[in-house]
Amino acid sequence: MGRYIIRRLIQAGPVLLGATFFIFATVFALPGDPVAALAGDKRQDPNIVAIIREQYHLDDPLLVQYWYYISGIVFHGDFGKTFAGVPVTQLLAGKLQVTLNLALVALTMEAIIGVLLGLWAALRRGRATDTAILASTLLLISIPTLVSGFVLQLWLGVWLKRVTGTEFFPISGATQGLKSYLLPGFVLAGVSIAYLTRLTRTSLVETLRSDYIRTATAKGLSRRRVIGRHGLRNALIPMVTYLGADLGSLMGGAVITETIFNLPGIGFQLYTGVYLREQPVVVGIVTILVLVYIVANLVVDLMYAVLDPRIRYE
Amino acid sequence: MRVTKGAQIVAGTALLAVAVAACGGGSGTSTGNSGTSADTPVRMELGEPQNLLVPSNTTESEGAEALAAIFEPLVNYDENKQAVEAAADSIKSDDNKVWTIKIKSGYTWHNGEPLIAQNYVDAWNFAANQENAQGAGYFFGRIDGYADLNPGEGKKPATTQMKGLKAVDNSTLQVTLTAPFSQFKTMLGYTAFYPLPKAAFGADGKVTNEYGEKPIGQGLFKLDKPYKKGTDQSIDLTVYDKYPGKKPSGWTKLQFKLYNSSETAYNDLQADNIDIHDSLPASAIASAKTALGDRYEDQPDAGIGYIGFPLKYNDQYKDVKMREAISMAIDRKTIAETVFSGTRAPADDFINPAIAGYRQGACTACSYNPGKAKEQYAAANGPKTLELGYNADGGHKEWIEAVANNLRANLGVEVTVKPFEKFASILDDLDQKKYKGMFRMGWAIDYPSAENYLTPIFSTGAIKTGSNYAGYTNPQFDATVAKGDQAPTAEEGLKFYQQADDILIKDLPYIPVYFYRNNSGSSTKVKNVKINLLNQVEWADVEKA
Repeated sequence: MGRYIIRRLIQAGPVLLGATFFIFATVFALPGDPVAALAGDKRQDPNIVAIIREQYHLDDPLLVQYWYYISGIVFHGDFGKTFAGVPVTQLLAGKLQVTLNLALVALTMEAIIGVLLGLWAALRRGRATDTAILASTLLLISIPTLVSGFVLQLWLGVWLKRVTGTEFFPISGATQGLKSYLLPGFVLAGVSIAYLTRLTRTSLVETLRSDYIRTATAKGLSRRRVIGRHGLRNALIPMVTYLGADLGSLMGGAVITETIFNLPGIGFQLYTGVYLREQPVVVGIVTILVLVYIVANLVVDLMYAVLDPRIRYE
Repeated sequence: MRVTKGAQIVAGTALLAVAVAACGGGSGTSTGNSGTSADTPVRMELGEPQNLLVPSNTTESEGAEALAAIFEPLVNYDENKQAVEAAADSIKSDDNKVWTIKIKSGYTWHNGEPLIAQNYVDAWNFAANQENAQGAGYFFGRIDGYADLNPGEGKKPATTQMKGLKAVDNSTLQVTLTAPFSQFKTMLGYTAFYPLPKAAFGADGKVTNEYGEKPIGQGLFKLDKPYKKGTDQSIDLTVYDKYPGKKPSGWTKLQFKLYNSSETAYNDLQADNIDIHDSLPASAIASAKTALGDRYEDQPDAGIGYIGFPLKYNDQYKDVKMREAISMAIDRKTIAETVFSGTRAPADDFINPAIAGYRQGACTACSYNPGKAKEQYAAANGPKTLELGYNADGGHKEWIEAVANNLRANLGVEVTVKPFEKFASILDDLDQKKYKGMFRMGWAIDYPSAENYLTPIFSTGAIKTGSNYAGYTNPQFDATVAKGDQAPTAEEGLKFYQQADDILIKDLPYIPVYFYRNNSGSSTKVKNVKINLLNQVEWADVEKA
């Protein structure tokens, strides 16, 4: 088990290195001049452009630039700087926390609401409740985050505050603890909640038809135990797989939600990083995302063993 | 069972992370509505400053707005758009070449040191030196000795001082220009000309990063804590006790809240979560007028938008009659009111209404006249196809498409609209003479003088060093502007600038399409919010409602 985890983590090394190079090269290949992008509608003094280009090694070939980047990390623990002179580590430390909070709030909501709704629908299969849940998830899937974000912000942020005089859901910023994340978390999780509900329902419906469920019922176990212990647990594997993979996409896909709710997370930073061609920022963020995917996948694989005793890792 | 236990720990850790993260979010400062009204800050929307808060490296509006609260400029601008002394006691010159600036007594830095003339010398020498790669370095280009600090690419300057800059005594600064410039006083209100205290410089003579995070100024507000760019969601300030000028009454704290989206900030304004929003999004203008009522403000902004021609290498656009025809075919009013929802005004001069020297209707070819346009275009034998380029990253697509439709409908020509991904890509292609079509162009002033709409964009010298992307050159224009620069007073200079403006209107190297407007709103909690020529709030006048 321990060995298995170590082996998986060692395998992650080359993946990370490959990812950094790939992203570095992609940003390098973007057209336009990163220094000129800083200037807006004005022409910059060519001397100053030359000096900035030299400072950031922008005139060197791709491999040389990449070497500066990697050797900075390996030998000096220096992850590079933005064009404004802010170290990338300092920049990302705070932002990563915000995005991680947002993604975890979203994931928690997704897991709780998705599983409960799915369970409810599966148990009422074919009845009005089931149809209503399926219809509402369809609605949820078809509303883009951009729309749901602004609409909920206006209803629950602006109007509700105006009517009640109390701020239940902050419109913007991440300064009010968990409260700040509830609305954006829900908006971010929206589509995933719908998918997870449907996945849970289908998976559970299928499991409940199995022979061992009939056996369990025939043994005289309580309905609660049959569904909880024998049904849900066996139905969980595809749901856990989905949730694990979703953590990464929630973090990576948070750019719209973060912008609408003005959360200072990595999503918007990634966007500006790409726009300004700030390689250290883009590579830093993407590497973190790759790491999140790797760890989340590992956790998912380990969860399999918990859920299904037949699975063992050596 | 070994396996299961290990996995349980992993799963537990993951859950713990959820809990920790949820708690972690609470550590930030609370912006709840608690506390008395004097303690509650006046809160204003701001975009994230592009750079650290160093005046000489701040050439964009957001950083400039923050710095304007912290620093006192040498001059401010009054209601007649004229420069009036602020931190300066007097600014005088006999020949417009050697300027003597007396500094008012009573100003101190936020660390207690007195403000002295040497602070200006140090700041300006640092800003102008090419080694320091400061974005606003070019502002000092008119000062004698600038060339010594900017010997060119790959060369090191031999000195660190401009010879035209001298602190005669603690309160007297003497500035010698390379050539007379009547508008010099007007320039001095801009961010780049703020002084810097001794504490700003490190052992190597450069402005330190620590200073950029917590600038010490000599203005109305001082920073409460360092601003960590990229991490902090607000910039918090308190009125500086020893500030000698007018202070706001009834409140002492100011907070800039940083937003990525002006729509979100507008929602916060409606919910009274912020008090001032000075860049309302076009999407909100219609509703803002009714939702905010008299708390909505609409005033001229000094920016201007053009359609440009690559005159220097494409003879296709050589005929001025044809350029006039294109100009008359553009329905500026509809573009300003419909496409931009009133956040723009139709342009009718090369000089913006926010600035002294603007003459309403000066540009006759700027009025919409489709009939005459078609006739004149045919007579000038204009090309059957036109190309119109714009940068796709700045919200220009809609109005460029509208212009293209105007030209198609009114001139009966084919128009191809070409998106470039960034403004810089258009400039690159123009530099390399690769792009032959018309292009979208814009200008935001550096200092509020009519001259700033002329020299940097249309003078022959600006082809190499400025923003003359059209490659327009007219010796008569250059000479008229030079006469304005050498005029004994700013007012007399203005007459020459208006003559130069007339030459532009006749030659039409660019077509002025729209003037920017500044659309701002305030909450129910504040009143008397005034925004000045530089688009900055006059804080001393703001009152709590």
